Amino acid sequence: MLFNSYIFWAFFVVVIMLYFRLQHKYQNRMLLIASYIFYGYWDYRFLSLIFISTVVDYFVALKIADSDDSKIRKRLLLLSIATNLGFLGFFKYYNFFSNEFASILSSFGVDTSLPVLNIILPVGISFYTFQTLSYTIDTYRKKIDPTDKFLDFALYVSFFPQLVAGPIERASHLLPQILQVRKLQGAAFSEGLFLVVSGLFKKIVIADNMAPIVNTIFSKPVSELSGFEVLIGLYAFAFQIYGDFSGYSSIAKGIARWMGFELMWNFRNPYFATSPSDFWSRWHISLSTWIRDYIYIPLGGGRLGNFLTFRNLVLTMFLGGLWHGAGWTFIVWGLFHGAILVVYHAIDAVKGKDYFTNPSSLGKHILFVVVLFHLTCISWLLFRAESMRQVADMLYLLSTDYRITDYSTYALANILFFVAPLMFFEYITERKSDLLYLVKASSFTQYVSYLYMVLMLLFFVPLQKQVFIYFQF
Amino acid sequence: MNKKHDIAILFAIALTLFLLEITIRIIENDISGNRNHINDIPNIVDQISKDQRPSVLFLGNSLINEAVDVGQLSASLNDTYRLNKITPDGTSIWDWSMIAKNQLFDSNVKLDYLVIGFAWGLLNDETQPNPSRLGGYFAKLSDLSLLIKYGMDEFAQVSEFFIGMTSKLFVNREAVRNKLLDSLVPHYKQFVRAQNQAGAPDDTTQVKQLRAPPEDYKMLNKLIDQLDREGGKLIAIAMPIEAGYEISEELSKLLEKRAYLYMDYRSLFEAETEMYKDGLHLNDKGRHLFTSKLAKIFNPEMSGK
Repeated sequence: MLFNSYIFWAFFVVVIMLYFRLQHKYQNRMLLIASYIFYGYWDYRFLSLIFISTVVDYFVALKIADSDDSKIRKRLLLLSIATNLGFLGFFKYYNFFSNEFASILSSFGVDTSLPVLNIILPVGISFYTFQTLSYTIDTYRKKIDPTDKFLDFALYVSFFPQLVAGPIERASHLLPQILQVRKLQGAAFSEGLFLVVSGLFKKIVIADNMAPIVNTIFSKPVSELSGFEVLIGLYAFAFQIYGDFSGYSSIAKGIARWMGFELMWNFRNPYFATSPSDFWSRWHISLSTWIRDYIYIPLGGGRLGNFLTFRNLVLTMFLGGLWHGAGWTFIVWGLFHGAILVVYHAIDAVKGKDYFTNPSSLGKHILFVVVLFHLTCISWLLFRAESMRQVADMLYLLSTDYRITDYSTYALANILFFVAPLMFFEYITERKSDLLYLVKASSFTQYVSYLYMVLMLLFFVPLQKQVFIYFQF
Repeated sequence: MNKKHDIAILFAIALTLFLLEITIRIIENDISGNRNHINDIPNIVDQISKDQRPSVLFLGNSLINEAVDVGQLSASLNDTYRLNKITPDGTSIWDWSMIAKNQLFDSNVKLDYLVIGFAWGLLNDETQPNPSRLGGYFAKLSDLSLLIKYGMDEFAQVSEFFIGMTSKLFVNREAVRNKLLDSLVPHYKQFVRAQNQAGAPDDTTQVKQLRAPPEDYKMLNKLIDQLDREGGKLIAIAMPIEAGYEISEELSKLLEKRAYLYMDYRSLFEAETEMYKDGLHLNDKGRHLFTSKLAKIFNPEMSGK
């Protein structure tokens, strides 16, 4: 079920009506059933993967907590990691690695034909495996106590608002909310309303209206494009992927809020970042903090001197790239982000830690934002391109061809029409350091803003419905 | 913020939407020529029913609307026939079958010749319906079960059908969008048309294509059945388009068997780009020639029967 579909909202009306008529225990049971229906509606066969992950991690975590033997604890943790990463590896990476392995062997003259499997990637597998892994790892690290309530734990793994595209919630944050009686605080309805409406706006109005421009530019032969068209295509994709993913996260947070849950923020105005570290503290926050806590810091983080810090950054971002997809473009995307993190860290080391995070003038601040946005756009080229060849050709065009064509003016006008109001709103929330600014704004501001979003949702639904990009990860 | 405040904001927005709904109903005919034409359909049907002459109704979309000059054709046929067009933009067999059912057959309008101009798979049940337009203009609530039977069975489609029945604001959203963007975005029409012609390079379309069942013409057959019962005759025309297109053997056989006349005009102006104004629709020259061609074929046929 997609958040931008009628069937989801019919489903949610039924869920919320039942929810408020039930006591806490039965609310959780009903949400568990609803979550399995939500996921099974896409493909019921893959419910077994969620169930197996749930069963394994439930028992592994209890056994880890029961045991004082470090070897046993470690083996149990490895069992959880092997199960979850085993599923992820098989469904997501098998074909990529078998193809690459075969081509390496053939370069040494060994002809081999490893079987290529016709594997469907289960929706959201990268999200829920990371979520349940954090539970067993945190139990192993004695940061949380595992729960013995199997059905409540099953709800933690499968909670439908964030099941298929995050935010990747930690057990320390979400599980207590499942176990305790939830109360709807005063602003829950307003906040949920803002998050849902703005999330739908970002997905349907921004992302889906950018999609045809992006698809047109990336499906044309590079020889038929100008460098300026490629640049406009990258801007369009930057806002498409942002609207798509942050829109989903916002709706997830909003509908959870209406049920008394508080999910973490996954995006905080990322295109106002001044440095790559700043960007990753604003973009897909639940993944970047997961990678920081479970990969970067265990590798030594930034504590071991410049060289090892740089190595850790690149290695972490490489794995972050691989998480997004089994392909060289994703791997190079991760390495590119690792590289710019290293460069910015090196500049920080020379100029001082506050150089990018607290610029000395407004001009510098704007310059840093603009430079980082364009570096991010180059990384989006790697993310969106079909092949490294397309990346190379488009980069060459970007640096050599500045022809302004009819299509580029058409596409740029579209971007300005759809995106400029959103960026203006985000600028205000950035200045006020309050992502929920609208909820506290004057009645007139609220009325105008909501009316604008509702009218845009009414009139500017694109003709072709688009799926959520992050469902493929 | 308290609940009362939230409800007041929502109420104000609902009220604004209601006022917009009323406004759009008042100015509906001014939104576009197409809306005006759709709202004029009952008048056209009324004219047909009141006229004593044999009637010829051209049913289709902008392809046949742009291709047929009714004045020229009428003069060629010595004004012997009542000639009318019902040709709302972007329509297909879904809309045509509902227009025929609700405006003609259910109203007992005597029709002698129904001329349907089509291209691509517009006669196929697999063509995507526009549920809000069907709900808003062409179908009745009682038609819903029939539409579901024909394949408009997705939850989203049925939902849009209902919203279309109740809100003209919703039905006209595309027209408003196009009007606004056309005034703000340079080259809007040119690139949207190119995008539409190129099809939809997205995942959902591919899935639909993979899952598409074999061709089905339930709506077309039903329309012909009804026309037969009323004593009317179907003339089907495969319309010329610059790039050309395929017609399945199944459809050709069906039309040859069941239509009174089936005219394959796909290659009427083959490689003659000067006949088209945009690759799809005929220009003045193309229209004149197409109408002359129709007159030549129609005249002996009609006068002889």
